[in-house]
Amino acid sequence: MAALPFLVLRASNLLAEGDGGTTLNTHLSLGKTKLPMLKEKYDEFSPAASNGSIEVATTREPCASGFNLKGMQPDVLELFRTPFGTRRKFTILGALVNEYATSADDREIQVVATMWGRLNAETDDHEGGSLLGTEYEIKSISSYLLTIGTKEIARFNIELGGWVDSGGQSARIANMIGITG
Amino acid sequence: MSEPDLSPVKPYPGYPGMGAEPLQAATPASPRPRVEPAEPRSWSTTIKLQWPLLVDGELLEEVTIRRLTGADVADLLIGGAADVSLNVLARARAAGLHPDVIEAFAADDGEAFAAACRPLLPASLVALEQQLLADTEAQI
Repeated sequence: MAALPFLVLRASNLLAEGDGGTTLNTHLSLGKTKLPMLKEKYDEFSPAASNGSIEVATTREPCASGFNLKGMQPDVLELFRTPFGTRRKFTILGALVNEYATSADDREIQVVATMWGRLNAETDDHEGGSLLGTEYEIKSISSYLLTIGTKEIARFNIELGGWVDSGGQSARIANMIGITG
Repeated sequence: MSEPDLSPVKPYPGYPGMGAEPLQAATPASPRPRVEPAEPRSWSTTIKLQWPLLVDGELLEEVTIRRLTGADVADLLIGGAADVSLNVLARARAAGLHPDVIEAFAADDGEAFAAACRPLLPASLVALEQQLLADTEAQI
């Protein structure tokens, strides 16, 4: 049985789509990036007929992402000006390197995370002699796709029932309740 | 309800992004050529406005008009606004100004600008314009 590869994230970048489809490439000032977490919410239930309890998955946490840029970026700060009911596209790109790859073919693997969301910005306090940074959050994410290499890892679309699962259940449920034809 | 476009934001045109083929080191398929005019001076001309304007609060005294390329003409034909004539759009593009600015020129400046543009516009557009003028004069 082959072991799982040891994939180390060697670099990442964040791209935002500005007005008119322009690309804002933040690689020169990018500090940290955080992918949306894949997390469920649970209700704890102890059946009357049991002496134990179980956490029942009820729903998933909303998608939220974040990054920070050193300095101030007028073009990125402007993305706060997003009218209600609209969202902007953001992509986080990463490069994974397989520590123990035996051939060059599968040594580098790309991570692509694309989401549509709304941007919040908080500029740090400025102190003399320090490098000012700005913390950004991407909230109200309505759709999200994470792929690593050619494999789709996570897909979310609130309009089509939320998170896509591996067995097609979300699609069947969506059909049953009339979300999709 | 439509599927949102979850293709990645492209850092540069032609970026392959994720998909069927795994991305190796990012080398473009073939390097793009660097193209520039052989005689830059014949590609642009500058005129001074006799009656300068303030555009968004900034003084506009000189207008540099550059020769239109095929790509410019294609864009004009595809994306022209319905309420602005093709000639104004073409001149605005050649001067790098908004059509409203061209229309706000004092009449004499407007004529000088139109005359300066004429050698730098595509011949077909100039012919169209002359045809229109001839038709209008015939009607008058």
